[in-house]
This record gives sequence, structure tokens and C-alpha cells, in this order.
Amino acid sequence: MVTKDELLDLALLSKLDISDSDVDKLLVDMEEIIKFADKINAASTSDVEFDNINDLQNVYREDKVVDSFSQDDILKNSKTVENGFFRVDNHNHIE
Amino acid sequence: MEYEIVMGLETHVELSTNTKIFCGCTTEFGGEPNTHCCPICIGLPGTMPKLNYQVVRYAVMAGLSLNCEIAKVAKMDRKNYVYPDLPKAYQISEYDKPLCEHGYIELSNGRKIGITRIHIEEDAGKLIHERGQTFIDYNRGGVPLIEIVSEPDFRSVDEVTEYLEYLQLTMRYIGVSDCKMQEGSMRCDVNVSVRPVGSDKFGTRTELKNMNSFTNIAKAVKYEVQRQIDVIESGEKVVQETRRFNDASGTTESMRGKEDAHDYRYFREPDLVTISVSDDEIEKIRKLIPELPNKKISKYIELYGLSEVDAKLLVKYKRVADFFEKSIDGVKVYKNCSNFIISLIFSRFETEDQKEQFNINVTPEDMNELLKLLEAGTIRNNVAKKTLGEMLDTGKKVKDILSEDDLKGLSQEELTGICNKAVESNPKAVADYLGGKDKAVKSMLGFVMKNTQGKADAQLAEKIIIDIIKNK
Amino acid sequence: MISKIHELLKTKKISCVELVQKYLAAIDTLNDKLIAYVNVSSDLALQSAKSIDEKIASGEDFDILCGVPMTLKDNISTKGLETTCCSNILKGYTPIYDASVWKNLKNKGSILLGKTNMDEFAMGSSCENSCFGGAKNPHNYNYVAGGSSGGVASAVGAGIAAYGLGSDTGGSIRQPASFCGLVGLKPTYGAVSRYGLIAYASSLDQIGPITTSARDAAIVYDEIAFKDDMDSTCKGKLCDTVSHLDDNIKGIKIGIASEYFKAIDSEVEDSINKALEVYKSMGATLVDVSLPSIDYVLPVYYIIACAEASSNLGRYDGIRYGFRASEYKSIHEMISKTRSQGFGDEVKRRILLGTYVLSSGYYDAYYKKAQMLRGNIINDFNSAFESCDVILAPTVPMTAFENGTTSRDPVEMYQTDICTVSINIAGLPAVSLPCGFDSKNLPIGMQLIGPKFSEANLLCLANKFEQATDRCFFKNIEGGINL
Repeated sequence: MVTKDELLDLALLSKLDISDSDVDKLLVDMEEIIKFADKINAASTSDVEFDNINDLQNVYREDKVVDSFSQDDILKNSKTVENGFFRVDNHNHIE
Repeated sequence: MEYEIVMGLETHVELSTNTKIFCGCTTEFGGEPNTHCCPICIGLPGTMPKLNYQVVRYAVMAGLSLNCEIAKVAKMDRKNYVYPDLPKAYQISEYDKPLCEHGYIELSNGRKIGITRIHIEEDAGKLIHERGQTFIDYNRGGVPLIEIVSEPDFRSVDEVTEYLEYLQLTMRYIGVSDCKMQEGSMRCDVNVSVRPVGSDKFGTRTELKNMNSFTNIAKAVKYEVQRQIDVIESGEKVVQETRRFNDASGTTESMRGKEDAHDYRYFREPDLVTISVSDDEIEKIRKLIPELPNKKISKYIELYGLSEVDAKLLVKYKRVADFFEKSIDGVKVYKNCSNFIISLIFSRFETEDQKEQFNINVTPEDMNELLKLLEAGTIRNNVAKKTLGEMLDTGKKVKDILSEDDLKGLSQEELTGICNKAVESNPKAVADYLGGKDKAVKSMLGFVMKNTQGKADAQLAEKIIIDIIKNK
Repeated sequence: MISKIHELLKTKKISCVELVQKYLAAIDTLNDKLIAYVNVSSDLALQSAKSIDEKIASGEDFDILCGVPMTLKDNISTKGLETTCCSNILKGYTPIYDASVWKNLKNKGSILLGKTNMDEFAMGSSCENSCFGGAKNPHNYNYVAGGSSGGVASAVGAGIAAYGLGSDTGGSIRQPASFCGLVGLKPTYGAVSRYGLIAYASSLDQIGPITTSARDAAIVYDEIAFKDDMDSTCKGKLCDTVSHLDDNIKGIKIGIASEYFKAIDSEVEDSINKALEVYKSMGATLVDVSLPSIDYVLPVYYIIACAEASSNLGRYDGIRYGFRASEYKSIHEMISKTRSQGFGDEVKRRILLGTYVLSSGYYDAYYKKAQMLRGNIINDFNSAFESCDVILAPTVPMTAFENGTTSRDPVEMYQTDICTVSINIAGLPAVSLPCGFDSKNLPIGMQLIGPKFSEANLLCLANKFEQATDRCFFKNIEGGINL
């Protein structure tokens, strides 16, 4: 059972806003999905936790410098940049 | 009521690898913003991390130096939180299987501070808030860190300072980090609580952040301890929270109301595979660790006969200790060397950083030559000092500065001859001395020193002069 | 198809430019209705075609994939070419690097016609969760192409790409391949590099081909399965698959797990039974195997996939790339608004579920338990493969859904993935291939599942079936390129 408060906490952690009009619908969905997930409760497990699919170990990189990308490339996809920095304006609202 | 302070430390140390933890970008400090970046360290969609083995090696070195057990199997986890300096919205760290655990540091008061764990993780980028805008530079993002977590074993600010100094020194010795608080390559959060003396229950703790020097850490802790005592004394309860040290006011301020809801939802990083350090590998790494500072200090005191103060001064800087040890090869009187370094060389440096760098014109071989001449009596102490001064100024070698004559030294006969001359040419002084003025001998000694270019042993010369006068 | 194109180019019966022009013209005619492509890169394609013609003219040897026009699902990063995952949050994002698979294919002279449609961030089974609208089934435009790699299947099925690469997290290659009457290979986890594949669920995602024959799937697989330094989890392939396509399959043991046939359409079941007869006639024997853990594989899949997704999708904050909300009072509000406006409903639901199952207090009951059950599922398959070489199962219990009928009830939709997700959970390879048509003339698919790195065997078996049935379950669609 997910409460409205729990849902809003999840939204905060996930950085999602949930509008009042969406809350009820989403509560129903989440309820349904979690009920579905709860099916695993009944299953019994061996106590071996899954590690990684191919049991790979010790895959490493050498400590050798590789050229970085150009500043232009790094900043290219951002909406706002200034003097080589990514920039975010803390206020950007139309009153 | 009397209170006892209980503290635990979380220390982040930036590793001095060439490249970042998960990509080949340089870890060099500074640089134009966003020029030490690639798709991986700015977290572009689709990119994947690839672990730099040097990070594992350095962390194991740090662990071994702090008496830790090294995990046979470790793994990396994601620590999830959204913040603009964290481009993937998770930090790749280690949660429940850290590389190193159960270590300790022994303090000079005999108390042991437990090291709970050391784990590897990635650093975040840098945010600059200015005129209502946030500027982001990811150059630092992905620089490798180790986080050294202590047990809540500290009972005084001095213990904290000693621990941190020791940690800093050790990391520098083993070469895994330069540990510069100012540049942020060493950062420390302190968990502080107080409790009535005699109680074995922990009080509610606060976590102090944003101290960029040992002095500030001491200031912050002192302030916070008093604040907590005041809160308790006034009948209220200490709130568990993170508090930020304000350098300007010397106070700590609550960081409540920040946007971060704390639930890191750790889970295994699926893009990386298991880390497994074999016993062989651990032994190989152990061999890379040089003699550690605490061992060196006792050696200097016990074996070389230095004072504790001098020993610590030399060991404080790895390059100095290395220089010292190379310089005293085959030398019998070690103190000459430590005196020269501490009084003559250190005085030429203005900053700690310069001492750390220890950039001088003199090689340990030069110093060794000078020390041997001094020890053999070939040159006197004042000549040695003058020579060293000139070596430091000009980079000249011992042989270039001292003439053949200087290096010949002064025979007993020569000295007696000059002393005779001194007595003969100073009848007034002789009379004064015979008249009971012992000090009058000094002017004759001055004559000797002047005419031997300081090569004479003053004590011996004085004895010869007195003998000559008495035998007259 | 690939071999045919190679032959035509080699014998200079057609120039690469002509070929690409044909494809582009067909895309132009069909794509408005199909919505297979979300971005057609005509100029780049023609440019590459020209240089390949020069290469061919010079008499240089050229690779089998050289000059073959193909497509990539829009979650595979292409340097200089917009890559959106069919999400509003990534609109306008142009990668500055190539995914490893594409880098290799490009070096081999592959011609990219454009990026294809998908469910937003690969979350869905109909392609209807795309911000561009869902790709249609080339066999009947009233039906979906399937998902999430619906665009690739739609394009290859319609004959407006010779082949394509999709990604499969819980069936996203096999299900649309099945719906569109194509071959879809989901390789062993770790066979193909994921570097540059925009992650949905990192421990489940794999890139693989959708093609019009088993041979083509083998050709493409051999080129995309290589060890890649950029992906720590990638081992590459065990052996070439093309050279094994005609291996003898006599005496092969095909496992049948009743768990896969529980809630299955009768028409699908009939086709599969007929396919089994075909295999028997080729000397295969059937054995019953049991996979009891299939009962809870769906929730295990959704818990793990959503948990990883909630973390993988945290980075879309509007700062470095993609969409940014326009009105906000703080950087944190900007991030929340960007994500709320940029993500679609299904993505948000899965992020919330993933956050829930990882959050303190619930981690043990959901995520940890699911990971432990993942071990059970792997064990089930291991035991099954002790008594058989491959397992044959339906790819989907039904044929393609009608447009717009995909249920508003998310859980009901999740149930359709019952046959595909277990393979991802266990990291196994599986190939879906057509084995019939239903009464509405929509394709029916079946999948062959093998032990890890057994792609050669699976593709050989698929190839044999194709030959034995004279490719009668493949259908050329009018308007597409049929050489």
C-alpha cells in the first residue's frame, strides 16, 4: 500500500513533480504495480545473491592519459554556457 | 556538568593518479573549465565507466599503511542523488564491500583510533554560485578519491589534529596523494557529539563540513562542542544534522532545508565487474610501501640520536627525510646534518609548500661530502656553514668553494706557531691576562682565527695560548 | 538480403548511390504512415554511398556489410546525428561520440539511412510510448510494429532498411521481430558492447540485429560482437556464426518448457507445434524441461529493470544536454520541471517504481529479493540445458496488437512480456524467427533460447528452419526494396 505521502517522497527523490490532478491516477497505478511486484514475496530463494552475468572480475584500465574532448564539444549540447562553464540561471520565470 | 567529546572523522583524499577513476582524462588541478572532460566524466547518455587500476593499487597501499585488512572481493555501487555537480545523478562508490576495513592509527598518547573502512569513489564537479546564476565545471568530476572513515574514537581536538597530520603525512609518504587541504585534495567531515563524562552512551551527533584547514577544523569543533553543551544545558536536545562551518564568523550553521532528501538507494554498479585483489597482488603492493613516518621518527631518535623535535621536523616532509638519509651515508655524527637542514636550509623557505617541495641546489652527495670534511676536522663548523650557504646560493660544489689550502686543514705545529705570534704581538693582552683578566685571552684568540681564516679549533687554540703565556 | 546487396555491388549491377537513392525514395513514400524512422539522414547516407562507389571502382576488396543501407534504433549514439530515445527530454541532443557498435559498422562501410522509432527509453512493448507516435506494422498499418525496437522492425519489415540494430532489455528486439515477421537476435549479455547504447537497465540491455534472414543476423552479429575496451562487461563472441550456419543439426535436443505455453493464443501454439514437427523431421528430438521460476520472472524483471532505470535516468536534468523547462525559480526546480515535462507517463511510472524498490525499508523485500531470485532463474536454465541443447518457445503469446489498444493498465501490458524477459534475466541468447501467420495474416514468431554464447547454434537452427520451410513465413511488403 503506497500512501500519498510516500508517493510524494518518491517523486521528490526522483526529481519529478506530480500535479494534484495526477496524484490519484498515479496512486492507483503504483498500487497495481506494487501488488504485481509483491508476487515475489511467496517465492523462496537460495541465499546466493546474483553477482554479475558472466562472473567477470578485474577488468581495468591503465593509468594513461588520453586527450580530453574539446571544451566546445563538451558544452555543445547545453542550452546555456558562459566562459567555458555550463550555466544555469537560478531564476527564469515569466511573471 | 563535565562533558566528554566524541568524534569520528570522514576524510576524503584525492588520489594522485595520472587519470581519472573511470576515464583517461587528466587529473591535473585547475585548467580552463570543462577542458579535462570527455563523454564519460560528464556522464553523456550511453557512456560507461572503466576502472583505473592505479586507483585500486593506491587504495590498497593506503589501507596497508593504516593497518587495514584488504578485502578479497570488493565491488562498486551507485550512490544515487540528484545534484548539478554530479553529472550521472549517482556517484560510483563502494557501499557494503569496501576495499579496506578494520585498520587503526596509534596516537602519541598511546590511544588507538580505529579505521572503520577505506573505499574508492569518484569526485564531483565544481559549482560556482554568482549573481543568481550557477556555473558548472566538471574538470574535477571523476577524479579518484578514497574516503577514510574512522571509528568515533576521538576524545579531543588535539587527537583529531594529530590524526589528520599523520594521515596527511602517511599519504604523502606512500605517494598516493599530495593531501592539500587548500586545493581540496584532502577534505574532512567531522561527526561531533558530547556526553557527560563517565557515560558510555553516545550523544546525538552533528556532522561538520566545509573546513579547509586543520586550524578551521579545530575552530569548528571547539565552537560546535560548546554549542552542543549549551543546547543540552539549556534543557534542549541536539538535532542530528549537517552543519556548515562559516570561516568568517568562526561558527557552524545548520544546512537544513537543502533540497537533498537523503536516501541514496545504493545498489551494485552493473557497468563494472567484481574487484578481486589476490594475496600475491597484496604482497606486491606491500613492497611498494616505503618506511612509514612513525617508524622513521623512532629510528631517527633511537638510531641517529636526534631529539624528538628534530626527528619530527625532518620526517614531516618526505623529500627532506629522503635527503637526510642519503646525506648521512657513512657519516658518524648525524646531528650535523639535521642541524644544517633545520637551521640553514629551512630558514630559506617561507611556506610549508616550499619545505614540502624541498627544491635546493645541493645534492645529498654534496651534503655528504661536506659532512665528512667536518667530521674529519678538515674544516671547522663555521667554515662548513659558510660553505653550505654558498652551495645553496650558487649551486657550486664543495671543491669549487673550498681552496686546497682550506682542505689541507691546520696542523698542530702550524696552530702553535700562529698562537706564538698572537702572544708576541699582543703584549697588552698578555699583561691583562696575567693581571687576572681571563677575558683578555679572547683578543689573542681573535688574532688566531683571523690568521687561520677560521680554520682553527677555538678551544684548542685557547688552551695553547694559555700554555704559552704560563710557560713564558 | 545482405549477401544479395553485396553481390549486386560487387558485380556492379547497381551502384551504392543508386541503391541508397532507392531506399531513400521508398522511405519518402512509406515513412509518413509507418513512422519507422524518426530521423532520416539522407545527405550523410548519399555521401557515404559515393565514397563507397569510389572504393568499389578502385577494385579494392570490400567487407560484406560495406555499402549495405541499414538503420539504428534511436537509443544508439551516433556522433553528429540527433539521438533522442524518442523522448522529449532528449530532443535536440547530438552525441559527440559514436557507440562502439556503430563505430565499427561505420568503419566497415555501413550506410546509415537514419534513426528509428522506439518506445521512450525502450520502455514499452508497442512503440506507442514514443514521443513521435508509434511505428506501424508493415503487414497491416492498423497494428503496432511492437516494441520497444518497433521502428527497426517496421523499417526492415517494410523493406526500407536492409537490416537494423535494436536493443533488447526484456524482449525489445524479439517481440517486434516476431510481430513484423523478421529474425531478431538478442545476443548473450556481454557479447556485444553496450558503450553508446543509452541505458535503460544496464544489467539486462543488449544490442542485436533485426534482419530478414538468419544468415543476415549471423553476418551482422559477427560484426557487432567483439571485445570492447569501453565496456567492462563485454567479452565479445565465442566464435564466428556465419561459418556454422550449415552445421549438421541431426540429433539435436530441443527442450520444451510448459511454463511458456500457459496463456498462449491457440493460433500461436499451433504454429509452434508445426515448427516442432519440422525440426523433428530434420532429426531433432524433443525433451520436456521445467522452468518453475517463470512464475515470478515478470515481477523480478520489472523490479530490476525499473531500479536500474531510475538510476540511469537520473542524469536527465536539463543542464548539459537535451530539453530544459523554461520557467523556474531555482536550479532544483528547473531540474524537477525539466524531468516532469520531458518524460512520458510510462517512464515516470518506472522511475517511481525503481525508486520505491531501492528506497530504504523496501530494498530487501524487493530489489535484493529480486536479485536473489535472479539466481534461481539462472539455475533453472542451467539445469534445463543439462538435458537439452536449446529451448523452443513462443516469442510472444499473441500476434501484434491493434493500434491504440495497448491497455491503459500497465500491469496487463507487462504480462505480454512473459516469454521474453526470462532470457534477459539469465543473460542468455535467443533468436526470434517467423513460424506462421494468424487468421488476420499477422506474423507469428517463435524463439530459440540457448546457453550463453551459443549464438552460432541458435542461428544455425534458425537457418535450417528457414530452409526447410522455404522461407514461406517471410513476406515481402509492397513498396519496399526487394532485390
